[in-house]
Amino acid sequence: MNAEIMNAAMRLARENKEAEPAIIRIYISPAEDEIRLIEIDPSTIKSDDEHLLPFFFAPDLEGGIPYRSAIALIREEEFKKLRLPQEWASWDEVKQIWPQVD
Amino acid sequence: MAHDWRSAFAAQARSDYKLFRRLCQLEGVENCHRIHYLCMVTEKVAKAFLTNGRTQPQTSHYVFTKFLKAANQNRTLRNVCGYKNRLSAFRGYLEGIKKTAQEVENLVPKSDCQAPNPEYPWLLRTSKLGHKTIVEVPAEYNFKTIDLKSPKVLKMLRFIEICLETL
Repeated sequence: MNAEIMNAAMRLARENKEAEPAIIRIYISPAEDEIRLIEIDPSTIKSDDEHLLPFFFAPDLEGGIPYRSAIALIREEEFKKLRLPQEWASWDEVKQIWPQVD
Repeated sequence: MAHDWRSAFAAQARSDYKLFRRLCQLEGVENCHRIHYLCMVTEKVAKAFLTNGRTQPQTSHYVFTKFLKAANQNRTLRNVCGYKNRLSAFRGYLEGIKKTAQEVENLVPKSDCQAPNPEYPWLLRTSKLGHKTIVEVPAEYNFKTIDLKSPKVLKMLRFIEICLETL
């Protein structure tokens, strides 16, 4: 994944955690043209159909996010269980980006 | 006009919303029709955000409340709603909309039609021996939980308008 997307993703992840304190971890699913974040939030509503449901937002140039972003909020027990969108990489390729791990 | 999935859902949501507004102004229209359109608007707005344009959004009806959680993290929506740099105030604003959104989503017809909804008649009760069934008609039902002129509904409508503008 290109470094520019990764940097923007890390910035977005930090901002999202600040906006939603209930988030406990944030993962990224690799993509070349958009930021795909999967956020673990115990306060979110459980998915009703076994699919990961990412919401897509337009790029935010002013805010330093020059890529479209996808945000999927899931509960801890749904991690690696939900079916990912067709275009997305598999769960095995998903990496944690917040909190940062060495 | 050529659309992708996102702009198509956004365009249909705008059209549904326009008709919802007209239904609110018309006299002699049963409330179920207004609420039916409001359900469709919330569903389509959320679905427009559920696609990047290339893929068809998932079919779930109950996505608007979930969308509010994701919207809380979006800087553009926060700024347009007038909460620039006020993260907790914006979270509180969306929390205020969530209860109304849940009430609207609760009225979306389920497949078995056993609960109040604005579209299909539902079974109210059956006599003990099963000789008589009482069925409720949406057009004759008073949807007390949704007062379309209440401040909480108006607040949600304003948020929907902002979403439609930013899509």
